[in-house]
Amino acid sequence: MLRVSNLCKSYGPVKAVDNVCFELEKGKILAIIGPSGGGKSTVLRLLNGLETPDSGSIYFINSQGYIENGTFGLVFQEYNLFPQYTVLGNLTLAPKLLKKNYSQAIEILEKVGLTDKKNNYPSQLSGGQKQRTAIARALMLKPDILCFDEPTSALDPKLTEEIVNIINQLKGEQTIIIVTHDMDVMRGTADITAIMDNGKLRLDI
Amino acid sequence: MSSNTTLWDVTLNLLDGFKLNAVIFFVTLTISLPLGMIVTFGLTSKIYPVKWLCKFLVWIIRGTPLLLQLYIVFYIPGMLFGMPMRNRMLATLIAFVINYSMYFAEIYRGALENIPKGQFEAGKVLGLSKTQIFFHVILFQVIKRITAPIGNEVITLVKDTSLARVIAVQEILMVAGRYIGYALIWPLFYTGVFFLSATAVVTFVFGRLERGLNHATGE
Repeated sequence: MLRVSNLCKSYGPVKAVDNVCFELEKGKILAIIGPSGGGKSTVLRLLNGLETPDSGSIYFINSQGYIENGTFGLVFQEYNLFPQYTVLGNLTLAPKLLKKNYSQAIEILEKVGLTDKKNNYPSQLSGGQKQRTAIARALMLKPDILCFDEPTSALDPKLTEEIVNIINQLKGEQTIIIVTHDMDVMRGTADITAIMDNGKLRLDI
Repeated sequence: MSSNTTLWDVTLNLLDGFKLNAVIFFVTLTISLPLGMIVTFGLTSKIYPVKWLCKFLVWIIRGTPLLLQLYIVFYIPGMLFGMPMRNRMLATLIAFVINYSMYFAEIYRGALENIPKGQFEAGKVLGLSKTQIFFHVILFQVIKRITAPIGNEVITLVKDTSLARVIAVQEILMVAGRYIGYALIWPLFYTGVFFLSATAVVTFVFGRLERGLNHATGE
């Protein structure tokens, strides 16, 4: 289980994340919804170590109640694929450099429906295919929590449905946090919904 | 020289001079391309005195003519320190290497700063170290971005090598200029063929390089 306590982050006088607390059980999907500039993406950046919190804590608790190590993965809003690597290269780069297993790459590509694109470069992919590659890349390192930053904001309704289907496929086996400003997208997918505005997070709406 | 004014003889003489242009060209490129990278690390350093020193050097070198820098490197050691620069070629190479390093450093810096922040962040989120991110994610993208501007600078370098004549390095224009004393002006114009041939080779090489880099990203 992930436990986030009293998380705070300010940029000058602006409190981007103001005393955010929540818990997320293994296998559940949390959707954080709210307007742009409300602090949603900052929470994801804090969880993934891209920003340092001013105060607060982020930790994992096992079934016996002890603190344990945990990892995060992030699917960026802009995908941030590496242009000089193929789809398969994007998936295997980090595991290879970190000397971890990467034999699951083909299986993960099958899961996101990209097997036939494995030798294509990001410049040869559509927006939806880039998004699926970014999801596959994040899954390669088997993160305890997979985070999505506005996963459907740049996609048309058909591609949005594709991405939601992939997230639904992962449901139950992968703990997920999704940040979006589009409440309709996550209706029926998220187990827990929260609203974030002015840096404050409100659960159970 | 007066009796050697056939096209063939002039060509051979000019070719002799052009060898010096080629030496200036290749030595400058070989040293200033990596040296420029070191200056870039200084320009982007978080140690502010280092950053300001590098910025100041770039400003001085880019803000003054290469011609003036050649004079300074050749004459100043003798005037100020009593150690006259006896090797004209060495003075030329020092001035060229310093000058081109600063231009290359600015090109590298511009390319590095234009790499989307998301590329660094994606590497970090995947657990890569800063060194791994630089060598396996960023470097290729920097090389792709600098190829065209570096190509421009290299073409300029081909032509700039002729400036060495101001401190009496016997490069091609200096050799051609001697024919004027024998009432022959055409060898001077003929030197254009040598420069055009060299820039054609550089243009071809950089064109191939750009196509290769585009091909490597599926474009």
